[in-house]
Amino acid sequence: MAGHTWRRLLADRTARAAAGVLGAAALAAVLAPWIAGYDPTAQPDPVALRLAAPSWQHPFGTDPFSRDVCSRVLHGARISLGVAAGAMLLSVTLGTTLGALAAVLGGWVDGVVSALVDVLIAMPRLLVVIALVATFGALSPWWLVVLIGGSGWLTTARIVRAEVRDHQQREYVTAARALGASRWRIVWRHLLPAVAPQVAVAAALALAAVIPLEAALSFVGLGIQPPLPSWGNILLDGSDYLTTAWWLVVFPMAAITLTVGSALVLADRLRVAIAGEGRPS
Amino acid sequence: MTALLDIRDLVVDYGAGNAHPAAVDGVSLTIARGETLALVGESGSGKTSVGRAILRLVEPAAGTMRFDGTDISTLAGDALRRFRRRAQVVFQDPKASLDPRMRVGDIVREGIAIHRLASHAKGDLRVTHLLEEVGLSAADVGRFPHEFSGGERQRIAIARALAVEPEFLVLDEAVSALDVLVRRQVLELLARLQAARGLTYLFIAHDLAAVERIATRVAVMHAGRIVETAETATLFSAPASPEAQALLAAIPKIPW
Repeated sequence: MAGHTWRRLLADRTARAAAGVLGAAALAAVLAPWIAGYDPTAQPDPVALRLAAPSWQHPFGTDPFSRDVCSRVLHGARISLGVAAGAMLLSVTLGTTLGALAAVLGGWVDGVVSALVDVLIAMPRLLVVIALVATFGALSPWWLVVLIGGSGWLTTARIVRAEVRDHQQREYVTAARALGASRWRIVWRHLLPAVAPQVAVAAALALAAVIPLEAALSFVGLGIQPPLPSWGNILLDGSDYLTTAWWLVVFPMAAITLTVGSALVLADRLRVAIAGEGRPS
Repeated sequence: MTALLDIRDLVVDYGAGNAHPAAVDGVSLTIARGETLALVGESGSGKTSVGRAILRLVEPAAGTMRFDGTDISTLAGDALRRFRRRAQVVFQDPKASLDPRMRVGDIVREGIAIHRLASHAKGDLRVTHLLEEVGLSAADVGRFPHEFSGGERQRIAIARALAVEPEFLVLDEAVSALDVLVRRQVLELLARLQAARGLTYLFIAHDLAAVERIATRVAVMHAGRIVETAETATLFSAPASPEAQALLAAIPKIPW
């Protein structure tokens, strides 16, 4: 039973571990100002503390400007995960709304949404975003959310449209119609809860796609601008010292890999939980 | 007895064009208030489409349908919603017809909420009464459909239909999927509810097995048309059409 998709997910140890990693990363991002040992932009001693290797004082070492890498990665999480979460929420909300509207209203609404998805999905997302950023110049994190989120709703819309159309044919929806339920009551009470697990998969996948996208943009200098730290621009700062100061690249990279990997694992376990529908848990 | 439902020359066509015969091809029938009309025919004969057309779940292509004197074939908006309070349905497979994500209490309450028939607290009480009326218990409100047996699920579906206090029920193969013993119990429940609430039934079935016990009259459908209508006793003793004879011959000879 689909109502038990969530219960099955909670019973899944791998899923709990992945959710735990994501939760810890989110907590670290929120608490960064209190748990980071240093101001992420402070340059205490650009001569003596330049490119110091990891130590008790600086667990992730320091960068060429003597800034504490650990504090920068923690504050970078605020920006990187904040942008990623915002963009994911925007794209999933847009995709769910448009996909559900297309399925429920049909007719020209369905035609327009489906055509839009078909056209936009053929465009390489990174290149489109780069082109837009290049046109309008450096963007604030808020605009980055709008841009990344606004270009990511396509697959969610497709999945939700297909799922809603499937559930609309089922007898429990016919029974609700026979009871006199309005179209929107059916959407809200029956169809959206039915597609929620699929939306959660799309959300986890969106998160996994958006974190590297922001990092890539910041890495090529089009995303978050210094001195504001993000995982992407910390990597950019470290890229020149890959052979001499490994800690500049390894720690932000590990942060990206760990969060993206957890999101992918969570999406995968969710799929398993959905596939187990109808079987005893 | 006055006719609660009066259908003339009903046509339901799922739009496959001229090459395809209509699912329902000119059906006329009347159902008197308080009686049970059984609509029987093999699968594909159009009996389910007749039920769905009456409930306005599919749009009829032609014909008139009068319910309690009002034309129901063109109802829309509020008028259609008010009609849905009066005519309800129980489908064949309660596993498919109950939302698996909703608790029993919310399933039974849905009609009460849609038609604003009771305040929240009074709604709780009504749901409890309904569950008890169909042989379940007040403790079942918090459980999910999959926690019940097939017969119990069908009782939940019946309680949901009764929640809006209908006068007319379409029982669309409502007992066909149940095993013999459970079928008998649900039929007894339906008979009891009919007597207590003065309900009128359209009992749709693909065989005559359960019909003798519950139906006042029987209409036999074949290829979108009604080929014979008779009092139940008459049909069972002297079937006129070859279709009715075939259906009678197919009843398993197990006394129950």
